[in-house]
Amino acid sequence: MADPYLPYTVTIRKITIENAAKDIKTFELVFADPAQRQQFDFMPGQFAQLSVFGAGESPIGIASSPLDANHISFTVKKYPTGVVTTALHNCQPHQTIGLRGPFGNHYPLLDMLGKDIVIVGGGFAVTTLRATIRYLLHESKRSDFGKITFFYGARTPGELVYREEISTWAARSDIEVHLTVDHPDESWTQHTGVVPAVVTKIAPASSNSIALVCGPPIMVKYSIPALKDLGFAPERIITSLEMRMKCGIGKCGRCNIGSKYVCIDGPVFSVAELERLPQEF
Amino acid sequence: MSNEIRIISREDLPKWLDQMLGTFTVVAPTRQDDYTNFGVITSGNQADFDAVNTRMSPKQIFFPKTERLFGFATDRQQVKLDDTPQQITPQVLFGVRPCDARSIAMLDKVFDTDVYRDQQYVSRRKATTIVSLACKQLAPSCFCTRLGSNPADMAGSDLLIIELPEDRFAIGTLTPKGADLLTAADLPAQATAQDAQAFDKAVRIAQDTTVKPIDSDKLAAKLARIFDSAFWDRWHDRCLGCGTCTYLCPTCHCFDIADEAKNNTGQRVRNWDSCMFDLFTLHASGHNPRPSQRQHLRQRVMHKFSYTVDRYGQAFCVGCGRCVNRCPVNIDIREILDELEDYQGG
Ligand SMILES: Cc1cc2nc3c(=O)[nH]c(=O)nc-3n(C[C@H](O)[C@H](O)[C@H](O)COP(=O)(O)OP(=O)(O)OC[C@H]3O[C@@H](n4cnc5c(N)ncnc54)[C@H](O)[C@@H]3O)c2cc1C
Ligand code: SF4
Ligand code: SF4
Ligand code: FES
Repeated sequence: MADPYLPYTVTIRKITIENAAKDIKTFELVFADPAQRQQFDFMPGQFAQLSVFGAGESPIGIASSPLDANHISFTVKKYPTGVVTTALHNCQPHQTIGLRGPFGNHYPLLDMLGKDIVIVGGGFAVTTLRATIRYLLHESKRSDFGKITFFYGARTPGELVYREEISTWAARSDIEVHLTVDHPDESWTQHTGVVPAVVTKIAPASSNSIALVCGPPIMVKYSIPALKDLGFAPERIITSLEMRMKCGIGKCGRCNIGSKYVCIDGPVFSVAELERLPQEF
Repeated sequence: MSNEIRIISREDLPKWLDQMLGTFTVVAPTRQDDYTNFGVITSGNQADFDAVNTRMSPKQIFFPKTERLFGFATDRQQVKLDDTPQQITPQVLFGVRPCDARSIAMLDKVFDTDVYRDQQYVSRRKATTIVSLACKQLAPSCFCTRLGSNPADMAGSDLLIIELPEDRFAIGTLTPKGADLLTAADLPAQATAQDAQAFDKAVRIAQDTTVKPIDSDKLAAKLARIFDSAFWDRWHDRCLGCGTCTYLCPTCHCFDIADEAKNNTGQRVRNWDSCMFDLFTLHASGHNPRPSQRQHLRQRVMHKFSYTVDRYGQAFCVGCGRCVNRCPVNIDIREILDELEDYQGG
C-alpha cells in the first residue's frame, strides 16, 4: 500500500493571476507520470495537499473538474504571513511541486441527479464550486441535472476570480449567473450588495432543489438563513468547511469539529449535519 | 485468556532478557536519577521491574517525538524524493504496565486503519512484541479501574507477567507473537496446575474491584450535551498551556508536519503537537476556532472522553495518572471526571 504521506511530484504548467490585488493565483499542474493522473481519481469538492519542498504543505480545494483529463488545477490565495502560500506564489512555470490526495468527501453529486442546483459562492473560496460547475456543464453530464443558478460575489469586481470563464457561462442558456459586488466600479452593470441579499431577491425555487454554498464564513453564515427562508431544508443546503490541517488523513488530530475530522469526514457537510456538531469552527 | 503459563524466578528475569538480546532490541524501564523511563538495554540487569511506572509513556517507541516521513532534494526546477523506509528491527518492549499496553491498542485504532495505514507506526508495531508486567502496587495517581481497566489488564499485550509469592513470576501467553517469544526462550520451569491457578486468581483479584468504572457512552453523550455549559468556566483559568499533559499522555497522538531544509536538501518530519497550544488551530487568515485556554482544555477532555468514544468506541484515557502527577498547576483529570459525573447543568 502506498505511503499516505508521500506526495506525487507534479509540474506547474501554467500560472494565472486571478484578481486585481494579485494575491490569488491558479496553478495548472501536470503529473510527471500520466498513469498517476488516472490514479488521482477525485470528485468535485475534494481537496489535496500541495507542497513546496522546504516550505511545507497546505490543503487546497481542487478547482478543476475530474473531466478535465490532462491537468488538475488549484487556486491559491497568498497570505502575508503564510509560509506555503507565499512559497507557492513564488513558484515559476515548469517548477516541480508535491501533490498528495485526493482527500475528503465531495459534493453529493448522486443526490443532485435530476434536481435543480443553486450554487452560492463568495471570494476565492469559489474554487471547488467552479470544479462542480465545470463538471455539471460537461456535455456528458449536463442533462443529468435540472436548472443551475449560480450566485457569486466579492467585495469589488477585481476580486471576482475566473472572470473570463464565468462570462462564458453567463452567455450560455443552461446556467443562470448572478454576479454581485459590495463596492461596484463605474463599469459594473450587475448586482450590488452582499450575496445573501441577491439570493433572497432572485429567490430560486427550492422544490426539488439542492443548494451548495462556499465562501467567506460571514457569507456562509447569512446565506444559510436566506436559503432556509426560500424553503431549502437543512439537509438540502450543503457547505464546505475549512479547519487548519496537517495530515489530511484523520491521524494528526488537528482538524476536528466535535468527533468529525474535516479532512476525512468533510470538508463537505450538510447544514443539518453541522447543526448537530459543536459550533466551534 | 491465557492458554499457556510459564514460571520464572525474579533471579531469572534478567537472564531471560539477556537471551532475548541475541535476537531483539530490548526496550525496558531503566532507572535515570530519580525516575524511570523506557530505554534500550544492553544487559538484562539494567531493567527496572519495580518502578510503579515510567515518566514518559511508551508511545514514543511506535510514534517517536520527531520522525522523518521522507527526504527531498531540489535541483533547480526538479525534485527528488527519498522514501527509503527506515530500518526497523525486531524488538521486545518489556515491562510495560497494563494501562500503557492498553493505550497502544488504542493508538492502533488511529494509525493502523485500512485506509491511509500509517506505515511507519504499523511496521514498528509489527516488529515489536509487548511483554507487560502487572502492577502489584498502585501509585496514588493511578485510576485505571475507573476507566474499566485493572492492574492485570491484558489488552494490547502479547505476554503478561504477574508476580506470584516467593519472588516467582507467572508469564501468561496472550497472542501468537507472545507464544513465539516464549517458545524461543530457555526458561527453566514449566508451570504446574497450581501455578496456572495462581495466575488466574491474580488476574481475578486485579479485576475484582470496588471502584465503579465510568460509563463511557453515557459520559460521552453528557459531554456533547454540556459543550456550551458553564461547566467549562472554571478549569482552565490556571492552565499554562504548557502541553505537559498531552506530551506525557500515552494516548495523545496529535502531531504537526513540517519541512526542515538547508541548501536545497531536507526532510519532511512529523513532531508531537498539542491541542493545548494556541497555534494548533490558527488559520493563516488569523481566524482561530479555538483561541482560548478554556477551549483548549475542553477540547482535551472532549477528545479523550467524547470524540474518541464516538469515533473509536472507547475513551482514550487509561488512567495512568501521568497528567495528574506532572501538571505544574495541579489540574487533575480525575477531579474533572468526578465533577462531570455529578454535573447537572445543561
Ligand atoms: C479543505 C480545505 C480547502 C482549502 N482550499 C483552499 C483553496 O482552494 N484556496 C486557498 O487559497 N486556500 C484554501 N484553503 C486554505 C489554505 O489551506 C490555507 O490558507 C493555507 O494552508 C495557509 O498556508 P500557509 O502556509 O500559507 O499559512 P501558515 O499560516 O504559514 O500556515 C502553516 C500551515 O498551517 C496549515 N494551515 C494554516 N491555515 C490553514 C487553513 N486555513 N486551512 C487549513 N490549513 C491551514 C497549513 O498546513 C499551513 O501550511 C483550504 C483549506 C482547507 C482546509
Ligand atoms: S489523560 Fe492523563 S491519566 Fe488519562 S491516559 Fe492520558 S496521561 Fe494518563
Ligand atoms: S499540564 Fe496542566 S498547565 Fe500544562 S497544559 Fe496540561 S493542564 Fe495546562
Ligand atoms: S488534518 Fe490531520 S486529522 Fe485532519
